[in-house]
Amino acid sequence: MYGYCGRLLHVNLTRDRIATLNLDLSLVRPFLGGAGLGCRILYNMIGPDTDPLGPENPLLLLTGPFTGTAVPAGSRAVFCARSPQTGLLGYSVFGGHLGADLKFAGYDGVIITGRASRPSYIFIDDSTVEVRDATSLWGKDTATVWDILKEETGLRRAGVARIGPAGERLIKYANVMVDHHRAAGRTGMGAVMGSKQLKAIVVHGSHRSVDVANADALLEYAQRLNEDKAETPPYQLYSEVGSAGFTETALELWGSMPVAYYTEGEFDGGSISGTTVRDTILVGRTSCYRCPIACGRVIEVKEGKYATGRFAGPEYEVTGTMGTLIKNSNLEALAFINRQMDLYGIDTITAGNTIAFAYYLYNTGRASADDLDGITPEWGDPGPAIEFIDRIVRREGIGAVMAEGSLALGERFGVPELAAQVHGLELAQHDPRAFSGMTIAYATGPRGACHMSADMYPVQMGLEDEEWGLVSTDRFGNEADVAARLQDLRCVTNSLLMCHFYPILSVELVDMLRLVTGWDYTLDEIRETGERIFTLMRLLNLRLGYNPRDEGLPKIVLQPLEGPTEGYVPDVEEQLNTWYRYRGWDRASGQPSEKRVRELGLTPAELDQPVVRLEE
Amino acid sequence: MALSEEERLLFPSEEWIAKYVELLNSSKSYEEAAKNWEGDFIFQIEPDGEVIKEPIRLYFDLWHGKCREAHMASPEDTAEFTYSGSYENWKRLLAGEIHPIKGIMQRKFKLKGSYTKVMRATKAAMELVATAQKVPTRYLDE
Repeated sequence: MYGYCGRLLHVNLTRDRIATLNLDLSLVRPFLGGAGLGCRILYNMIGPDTDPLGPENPLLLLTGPFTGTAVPAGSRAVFCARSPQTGLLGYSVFGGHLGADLKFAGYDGVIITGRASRPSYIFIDDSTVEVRDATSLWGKDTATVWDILKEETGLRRAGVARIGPAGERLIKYANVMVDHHRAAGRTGMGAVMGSKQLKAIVVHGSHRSVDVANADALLEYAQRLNEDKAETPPYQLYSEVGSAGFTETALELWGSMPVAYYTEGEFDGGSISGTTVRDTILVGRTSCYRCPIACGRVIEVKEGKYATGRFAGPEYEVTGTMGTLIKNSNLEALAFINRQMDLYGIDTITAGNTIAFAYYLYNTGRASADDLDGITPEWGDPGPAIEFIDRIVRREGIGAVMAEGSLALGERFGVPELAAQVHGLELAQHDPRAFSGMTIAYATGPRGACHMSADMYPVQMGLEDEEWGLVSTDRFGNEADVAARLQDLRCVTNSLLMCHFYPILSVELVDMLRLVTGWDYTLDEIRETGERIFTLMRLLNLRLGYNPRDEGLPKIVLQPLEGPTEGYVPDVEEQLNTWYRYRGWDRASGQPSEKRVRELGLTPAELDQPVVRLEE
Repeated sequence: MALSEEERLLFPSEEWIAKYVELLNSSKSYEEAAKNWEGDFIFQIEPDGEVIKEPIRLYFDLWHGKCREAHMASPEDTAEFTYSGSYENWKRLLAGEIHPIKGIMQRKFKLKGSYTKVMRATKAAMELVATAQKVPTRYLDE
């Protein structure tokens, strides 16, 4: 058995019971691991009546076959559950080293069910698995908890996933912070943890390797790959200046970084970009397990009202939501806001969008200072954003509404159609008016308006994968079929748990999968696997209440802009029609075709067979 | 009316470079776009075994919106950046069919030197190409 441990942990928090389950690898192969396997397991465990914040909603922590191996940038992990934010499938992939630690401890994942009777944390040190009291940690921020748990367990290098006060208070978009401030940011997995009174998961494994089919060849392949990729623009960019290094190009060349809550086309973002971070407040870099890129920034604002101490620096998404989206050009304030969000444990994309929406409502006269608890969020002033964050996490005043996300805020002011969200998930900072393919990514993404399920922006910038059919000829064209293929590829990478910043080609993925597992994978099989996982996500989502009539883009991004987007507005209907035709699915019902469902092995009879059986 | 072969300048050649520098140094839009740029380039045409047998190199010293020096370069010449691609891709770049930055993403061109510094100068890169398109050019394989 290579690439997998073949074992899962089941932690029943209600009964304080721990069991080890065997993972049938013949059932794993069609779904790979990670998000794909998570969706397959959840298919038999959740339904429309599952309360996302109830004890009946299981929380899965899963790795993939690459996790803990020599595959570069392939050691991520994922949390999966029904999302309290969208009501749909929730999953959030994250970096750090916790995933590798879990494999080293001998487990492919952990299934967490029930609800603890008191604040708790799960402690995993090889075969020692315990549910421990976390009463003293409750209420503490994510950095403090990390420090205390390393000290308390004596495992200074353990992987630690933890929630902050936002998760405890069931903020819909609470995240889980992992290791050196990497975030499982999207779909509210932190709220699910909070609902279980689960403050943290600490993981240490002493067997510091994972058995693979051909270790020497894999190592050699990985070294060659790293040498090759080191010359590519994405690698150089993320390595040299972090993801926020994309800021100037996004603003000046493409117009893809939204400004003033998606209503303006131009902004000078040079002062908050990754290059300025490097030249001013950068004090170090961090890397996830076996990642040669090391995109993580460590910054320090030494003094003043925005002093941060040494902390994780702002990456691209928060540079958008709490920078350009509110026209904030103060880097120190941005770094401080980012830190506050991480300490409380809230998703910087959803929280930032919701706060920026409040700015927009105020600046367009739709909300008054009275409506906003006396806060006056003028464009460009970062101070109000900090006040909003505090109120959101305390669920105080307008913060109680904003804690539910931007759709709830839009409903409060009678303009839900202006909220920048799809299916309840807020847009990432890649405007579909700059890259048409983001229309499909947002409109049909299994999680809502998510960039991780189809990051069409690098494809439409020119990054190609011909073997997978990822070639763009026009960033303003209808490339919905390309986006569909990318969705399938992203289902593969989110299941293998490869980082999307590493510019790997599909054929290289297949090569490494063969070297890791020893199985005779082909590109065709992996292509079908991607489609299978995407289709399964749709089948599960339809059962959970996914409404295809909600597929589209919010009104706020359907206005033409001056600047590099050249006034382009995507034709959503045309793209959706192309996408449904390409997939062979029914547009009205959103249902995949019966024929394809059969061919992919996803018939109701097949899906009724659970891949894991939990003890009561 | 199309220019005669004699009126068009061979790319690459010292004559082509001289005309290019003349146009570049009189371009207000390049001057504005590149006003903060400091850095020299070697533009390299990679051998393809057919038209190009050995690497051909062109040197440009670009400084605050002007070109201070330019000439055909030897294998020993160095610069902060080397931007290289096949002759076919250079032709497509000069014809406006390949975007100078997108071309790097597409791996049609290779860049040695800080990618992030170049990324910050996208407008200047576009102006460099736009100006090159104004040079009446003929190619080695025409």
